[in-house]
Amino acid sequence: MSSGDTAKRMWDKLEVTYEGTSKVKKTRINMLIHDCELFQMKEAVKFVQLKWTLKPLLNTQTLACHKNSIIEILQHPNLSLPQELITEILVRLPVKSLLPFKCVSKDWLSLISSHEFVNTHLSFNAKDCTRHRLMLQFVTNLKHCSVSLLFSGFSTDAFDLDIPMKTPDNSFDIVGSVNGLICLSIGVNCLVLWNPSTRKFKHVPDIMNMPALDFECRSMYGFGYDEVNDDYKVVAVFSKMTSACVSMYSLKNDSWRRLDDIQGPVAYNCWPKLVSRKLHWVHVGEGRTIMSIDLVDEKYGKVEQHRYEEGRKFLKLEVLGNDFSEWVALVVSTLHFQSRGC
Amino acid sequence: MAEASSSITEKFFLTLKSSDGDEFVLEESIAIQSITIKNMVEDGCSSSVIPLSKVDTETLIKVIEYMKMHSSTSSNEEEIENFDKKFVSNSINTILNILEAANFLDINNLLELCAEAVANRIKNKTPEAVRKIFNITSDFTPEEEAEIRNETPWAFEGNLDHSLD
Repeated sequence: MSSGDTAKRMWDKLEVTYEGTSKVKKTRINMLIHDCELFQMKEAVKFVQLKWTLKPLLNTQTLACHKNSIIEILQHPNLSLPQELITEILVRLPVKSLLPFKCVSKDWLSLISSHEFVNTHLSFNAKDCTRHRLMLQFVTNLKHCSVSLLFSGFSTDAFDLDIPMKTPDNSFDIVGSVNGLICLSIGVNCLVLWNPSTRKFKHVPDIMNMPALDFECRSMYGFGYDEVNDDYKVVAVFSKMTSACVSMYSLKNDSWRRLDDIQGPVAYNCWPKLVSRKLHWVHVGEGRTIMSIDLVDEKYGKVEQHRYEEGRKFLKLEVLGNDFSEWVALVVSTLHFQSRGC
Repeated sequence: MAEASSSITEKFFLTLKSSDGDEFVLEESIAIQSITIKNMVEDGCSSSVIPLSKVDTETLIKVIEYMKMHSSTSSNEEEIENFDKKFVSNSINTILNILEAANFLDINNLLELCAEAVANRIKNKTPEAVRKIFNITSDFTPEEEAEIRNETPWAFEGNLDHSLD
């Protein structure tokens, strides 16, 4: 029986109690108090309503003989914290502290595991920059440290973070990170989606009919979130001399889908960068342009550039921030190669 | 009753009644930090005593202390900060009661302060300690609980805190 049902029954019983004659009342109140005690054991969270209902009854004559039982129930500390307040407390906890609380009770397990709570927890923590962590990539491993402490000028500790899989040469790259999920490219062509907070990870399946990688064909990956479909997506770009083929992986479907090929190669020194819901890369045509793919409708686009930047040979993209406007967010660096005549 | 001097701004007072029947007189400008009370004032229900049937005397005293400190024009930021620090050092049960009251009275700052305080206090606690603090009885079989523990055994490692406060 769901907790809602039981609470409803208790309410119904209370209603009947109010309406009964005084003789009947006593018996019913006895039952009620008995039920309350059982109820209290089982459903602390729902108890708040009973507590409020019982309190005004204290002074009525009918209940005089049960006064002590009622007082005992009423004085039970925090018997009654409604779920919204439990949520208010739990969203403020780091994931590591939340995990053990899954075995507090079935109510807590379903609350902490619920999609709704996960999203609330995520947006609460995303809003608060003191909770942000910076990931530092070393040759064979990762470290993380607090962003706000780093910028506060105080020295801050960086903690080791073991990546979920190792290859013999320990090579890996960070493809991208969204909402605390990280996409890693480990070894030659193994992609892994990884949540370092829960230490869970998932292999992205291999791409069917993937072009053979060699000197003429390079692979690049980008990672992003499609908020319309609540889906995480990986884009793989295989750039050849005259064209590039593109595939998109959806975590929801756990499968890859081939998209339209792109005419002309893609600059492979710059992996796709995520701004809002689009991944951006440098396309090599007559000049260098910034191309994008929308993770929601999977359509290609072109970012209008300042005339000064048009046709530059060595565009490299970095993301400065991820809000408001793509114009501010995409930093286009032209490096200094041009002056050397390259 | 002595007449208030007409040269100073007229102050309105409200009477709040706790669930234990105790009455507290409070300046309206302080009390309306509670949106629940503010709405009652705006609806014209504040001429008599405002009954707060869900807040007991002990909790109401704390809430009034908080509202006085946070509305007073004389208290500066440092004073408020020190007050808040001391305020959250109350027992965890007291804070949970205040949290409930803040929710009922709709005082958002106080609710956030208490939720943050409780979160800090239970951060490294064992599930057993949390059950006692929130008065929850486990409804898992030992097997079910072991299964959850085995999903993320590393989260149970280290020195988890058994204390109840």
